Amino acid sequence: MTEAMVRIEDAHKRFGKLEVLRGVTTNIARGEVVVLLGASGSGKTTLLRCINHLETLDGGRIYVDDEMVGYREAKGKLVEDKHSAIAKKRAQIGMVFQRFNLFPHLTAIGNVIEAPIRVKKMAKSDAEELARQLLTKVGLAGKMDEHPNRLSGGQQQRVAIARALAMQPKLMLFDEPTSALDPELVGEVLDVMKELAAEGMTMIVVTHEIGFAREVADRVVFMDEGVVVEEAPPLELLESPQHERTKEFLSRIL
Amino acid sequence: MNELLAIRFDFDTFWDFLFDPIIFKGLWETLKITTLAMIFGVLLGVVLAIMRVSKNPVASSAAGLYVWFWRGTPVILQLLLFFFGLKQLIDEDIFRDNWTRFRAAVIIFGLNEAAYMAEIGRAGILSVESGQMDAAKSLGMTNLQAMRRIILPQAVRVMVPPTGNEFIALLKNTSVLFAIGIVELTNAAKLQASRNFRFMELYSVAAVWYLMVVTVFSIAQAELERKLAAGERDQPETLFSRVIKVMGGSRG
Amino acid sequence: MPRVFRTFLLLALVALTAALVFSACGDDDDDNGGNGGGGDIDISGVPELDDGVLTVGSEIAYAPFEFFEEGTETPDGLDIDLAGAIAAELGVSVEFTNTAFDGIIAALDLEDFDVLMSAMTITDERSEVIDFVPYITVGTGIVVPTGNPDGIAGLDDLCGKTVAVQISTIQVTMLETQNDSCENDINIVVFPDNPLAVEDLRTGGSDANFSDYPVAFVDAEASEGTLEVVNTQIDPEPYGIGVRKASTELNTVIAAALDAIIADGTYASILSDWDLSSIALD
Repeated sequence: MTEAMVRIEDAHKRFGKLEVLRGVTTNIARGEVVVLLGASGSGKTTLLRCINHLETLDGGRIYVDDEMVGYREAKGKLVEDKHSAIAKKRAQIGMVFQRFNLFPHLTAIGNVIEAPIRVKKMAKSDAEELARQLLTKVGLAGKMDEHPNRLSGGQQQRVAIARALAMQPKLMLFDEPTSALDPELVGEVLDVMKELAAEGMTMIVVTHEIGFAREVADRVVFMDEGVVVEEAPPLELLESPQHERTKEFLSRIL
Repeated sequence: MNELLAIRFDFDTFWDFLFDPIIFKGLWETLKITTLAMIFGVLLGVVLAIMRVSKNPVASSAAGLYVWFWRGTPVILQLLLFFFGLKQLIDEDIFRDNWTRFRAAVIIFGLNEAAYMAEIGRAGILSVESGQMDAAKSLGMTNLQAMRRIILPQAVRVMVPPTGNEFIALLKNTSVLFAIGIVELTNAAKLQASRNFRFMELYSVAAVWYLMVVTVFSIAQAELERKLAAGERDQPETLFSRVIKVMGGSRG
Repeated sequence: MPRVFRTFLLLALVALTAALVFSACGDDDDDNGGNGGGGDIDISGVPELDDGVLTVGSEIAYAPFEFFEEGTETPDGLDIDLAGAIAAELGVSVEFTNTAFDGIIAALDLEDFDVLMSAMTITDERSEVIDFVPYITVGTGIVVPTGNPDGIAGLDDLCGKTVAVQISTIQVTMLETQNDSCENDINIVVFPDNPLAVEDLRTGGSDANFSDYPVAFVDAEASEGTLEVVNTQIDPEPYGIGVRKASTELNTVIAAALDAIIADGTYASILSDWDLSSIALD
């Protein structure tokens, strides 16, 4: 049992002719908060989606808590795992999407209890109790019975976070969680994420929110053109970047 | 004006036959067969739709083949093939006694309808944005769980209008059942007309009843669409909800 | 660009019009029978024959009266031959139009053709709407599976059985009348045409088929031994050539032509060719 929660070894991914991941290698430790930084097209979202097997790998391996998600070893080769096994592993990894992806036909509390009941076979009353706690934690105690279309973007994203947390995951993946929000709503979501980090959750966050990276991240990983260019604690990487490409990118966004 | 019409159109005959028991019997046959075939067709169609969008090549091609055949041949031909034709091939009393006109009608129309419903279902499923499947999967749901709980409920909303269309089309297509000896609404009228030679009057009676059924059905469909829009901002106004409002009731 | 498009549109329109015009000419089916001077019947006062053609409406799906020669679109049958002889006698040509039996009287009324000749029995109800020139006498026949498993000998034996018939035929009425004296009702199954009714019998959906005797006879012959006809003709009745009530002149000349071909032996000879001498008008 290693310290690393996530091990990414030489990950490759191609979409048709386009190579998006060209050999990504990095580790994320238990309880670490890592921010993935990079221009669009750098492969950061793809990498995130490979971790929970929403995308397949064309090369390399990814281990979450010492197990591969989506693949198993058979006679020395990698074969795609059974659908039920993949689902089981995914249940331990939470994901929050840029566009929230809440289930519109269910209420806020309905969204949160759905997976615990269906996947973990939790009793409805237990699930509801858990859901109420989580929704209160993210500050939405009064909105539990609302449908997503009656919630603001920030509220919807917080429901999404509660929904992911309801499965009690070991790892949380955030794919640009605030990019689709109006500026004044960004703060409430970041606050929830900060609290989560303080509680010791292992988090990988793709984001442009430099403030968040500075305050909360343990490490910032800069990606460009499908590889990791540089990784360091936030103050180091942001104040004194080593590589040209990092400097160039930072000069554009800072 | 009345006199002019009355010369050629006998209103007495029309009114007599509007509520004639033989016409009602035909109407009842039409409704029975349409409803049963539709239920069968929708259920089978949804299964086929899921097979069609599946990544499993066997499932996908099997469903594709089914749709190709049942959509690609006229239903009258399917009736002749699978009612008369099958009985010609299988000269066994057990089969022939049980493959009755009525059962054949429901099953063959149902199989036919399933092919069209498969495509409607497929369109419905594809209309649900991919992020929904991503979210469901990321929470650990299997494909089937995601389909049942997340995708299909959303797809259903999009599917209601074209499915309503299919019901109405099926209702009218049942008139071809005469070829296998079933007297439904249209041919009940035809039969009566062949006795009294009052074609216009009797065809009008049939037309009135088709219109009545379609009208009632359309109202029901609109209400269903309204209910399914529960999670949306704009709730569609229906004739029914407007009537309720006017009558002083409160309906959103 | 618009110029090319306009030219193309014009050409397309011309082609479409040409197609429509040519399809309108030369409609319908065969041209049967002679032209010019058959006999001495004066047809000058008959408006329907001004064009020199006697158009006949018929459901060409009822052997041996009218049917299509196998694999062709050429009508053949007793009615076709008799109509041809009558037309020749009148000095006009004849054209058959295939029309569904159910609705053929309405079609005659709407002047879709001059007369109808479709193995139609003269009944009181039908005579209220149109006039008839009787030309042969035919009864009904019962077709059953070979071996007559239900032991059907006559109309009475049809009680409690399933019988397949064609819509608008007298057979429907006959069965309904029979039902009045039945303890167990006859299950009357109606079809758009007789061949489908026979098919239902052949595939075990019905116990018997009820149609005009000569037709029943031919169907049994053609069934490759699977079907047979019971007994003799039930209730022979005259068949009539249908004429609109207003077409009194046409009615007269057709009756005259029929008399002529009976008198000179043409009638008997045609019937004999079809082995149907038994159904001659008496």
